[in-house]
Amino acid sequence: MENLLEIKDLNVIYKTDEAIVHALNGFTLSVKKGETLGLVGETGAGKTTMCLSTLRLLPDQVGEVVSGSIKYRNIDILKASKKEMLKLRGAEISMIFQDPMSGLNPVMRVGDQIKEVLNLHFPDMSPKDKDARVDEVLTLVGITPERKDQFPHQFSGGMKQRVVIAMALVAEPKLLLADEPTTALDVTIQAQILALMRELKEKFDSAMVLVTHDLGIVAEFCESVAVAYAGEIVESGTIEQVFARDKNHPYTKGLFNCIPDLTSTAPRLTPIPGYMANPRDLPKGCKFANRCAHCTEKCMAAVPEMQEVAPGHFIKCNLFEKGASGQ
Amino acid sequence: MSNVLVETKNLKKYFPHRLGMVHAVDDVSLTIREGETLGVVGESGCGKSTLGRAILRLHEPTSGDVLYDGKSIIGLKSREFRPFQTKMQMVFQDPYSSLDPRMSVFDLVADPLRICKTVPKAQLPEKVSETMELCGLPATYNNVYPHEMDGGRRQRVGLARALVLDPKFIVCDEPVSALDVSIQAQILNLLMDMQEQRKLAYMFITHDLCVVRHISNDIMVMYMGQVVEYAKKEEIFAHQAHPYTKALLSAIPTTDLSRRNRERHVLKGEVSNPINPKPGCRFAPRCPYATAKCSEPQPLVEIAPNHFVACHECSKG
Repeated sequence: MENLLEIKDLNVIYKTDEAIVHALNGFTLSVKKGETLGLVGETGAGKTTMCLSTLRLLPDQVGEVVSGSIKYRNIDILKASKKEMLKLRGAEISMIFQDPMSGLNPVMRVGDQIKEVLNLHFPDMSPKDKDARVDEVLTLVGITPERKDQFPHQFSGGMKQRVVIAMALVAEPKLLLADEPTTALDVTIQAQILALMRELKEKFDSAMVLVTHDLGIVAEFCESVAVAYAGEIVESGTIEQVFARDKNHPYTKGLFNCIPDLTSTAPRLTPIPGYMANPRDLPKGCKFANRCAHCTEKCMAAVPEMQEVAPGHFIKCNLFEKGASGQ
Repeated sequence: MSNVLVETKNLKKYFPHRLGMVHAVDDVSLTIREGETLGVVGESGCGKSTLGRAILRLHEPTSGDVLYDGKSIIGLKSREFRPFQTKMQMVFQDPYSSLDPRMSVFDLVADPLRICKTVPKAQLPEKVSETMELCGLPATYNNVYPHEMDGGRRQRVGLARALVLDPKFIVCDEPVSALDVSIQAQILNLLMDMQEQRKLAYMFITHDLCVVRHISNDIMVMYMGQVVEYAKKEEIFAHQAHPYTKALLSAIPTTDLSRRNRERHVLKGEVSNPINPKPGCRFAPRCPYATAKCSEPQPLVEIAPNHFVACHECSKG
């Protein structure tokens, strides 16, 4: 199937006064039309930077795309004009931000904030239709339309997140970048929202990149998964391939082991030792080497090649090199 | 069985509101034993944090009683309360906002000691470094400020601040929900190690049922300020009775692909308004099994030994 979004070998840095932060290091990812891709990773893995780069929303003067390319359909995002980007954002590609507070204007009624999207992308729509659409989308995300005249501070964190989701969905985008959309929500509400997003996705045949740190959500909600670590994809494949836990990157394996689940009886969890590599001073070789039990000199010397362990299942680890015995 | 350390009796905390009273915690009775963990589960706004704070008197309860080691701590003057305060500590949810950005790690950990004076001044540095070491913060962190640390290390500071007074009871208010999963496991293990070494009692407040299953002995499920189910962990995961508990459990996303197509109880609607709630079951508006009888008050009934449920459907027999 045709790729809707194609990110190739993207390198993004953030320039701060003290140092250069390497946020993305050869980040490669493609999203097919209508696909739901789970992008898993911890803080600092570059998940949010990837979303921001795709929308060209990296902070001015600070964030910079050093090399690589981003293609949406046949548009080269990195070369698109400001005007083209304005048309894309919200209508074609939309983003649900992680922190609901920074996504909402504190001095604007939430209904008006949702309507703003419609004003921008559907100037011909009548005010009455716009109001009806706002009511509809608010009901969809589980907020009674009477609350549309309230301000963000009158909503709880979870409710604010729903407003943000409503804003992202109102224009029915083709590609939805959902950056931890349900992290701030309760499980029963999360189940509702995920069911709702699945429904809308099918209705409009839109693709979605679901950024999350919750492997459970990915397993239930997505068709394929990509695992990010320190600004690169270390493993990608279909849900069945990755969650079979047969062949995994050591980091993915570590992630599986450190989440408590509903069936295990182990008295203690097995955390991944240490902390993520400092993005200001990345190691030359594999970024996970210092936390990895299988680390060899080769891992320290150079970034491992991406290995295809099964059709469509890629792992960036020397353990799976052709001819090597594997794990 | 070990001694009961903390007990609440019909604890209530109401907050005044323009439109009436918000019933944040409504008639909660619980017991926590030495060296054990009570997991309090519920969605945001169900009153679980308020309950934790009311037990520590960070919110003065509206009515009801809190007993520590059999002695009531409600109504004590601050001087009388001080010795209890050092025994009952709290770890906060957000390691980003609960630490003073202008204090170094050493000062942050020393702060409770300087206030409560539980050790002589001369021994203070030793006590602080000992506690920091215990929490995985080597002496190199003495002069580090919170903004220089990531969430996991900050939460270690939060835990060190609670542990430095040698408490017997800690209220952990979502201590790992702001952390990455690999770091979350480190902190959970640290909490469990501390419990084993020091016979600590925890009240572990969380919305994450997987975490609660991992760490707790007893589990209490709250809905809109009330307890809807209260039982041993094994009992609740094997024989959950209340429709709300069932819905919560089925809503948990799991990495087990075989559970992918399980029957889900997706709840409709959301938590209703906790201002002046009606007397009946507060979950009834969202409950798929609701009947006319649900508008009557639902007391907690023991349906199996030490398994309490507030639902007439489950308790009739």
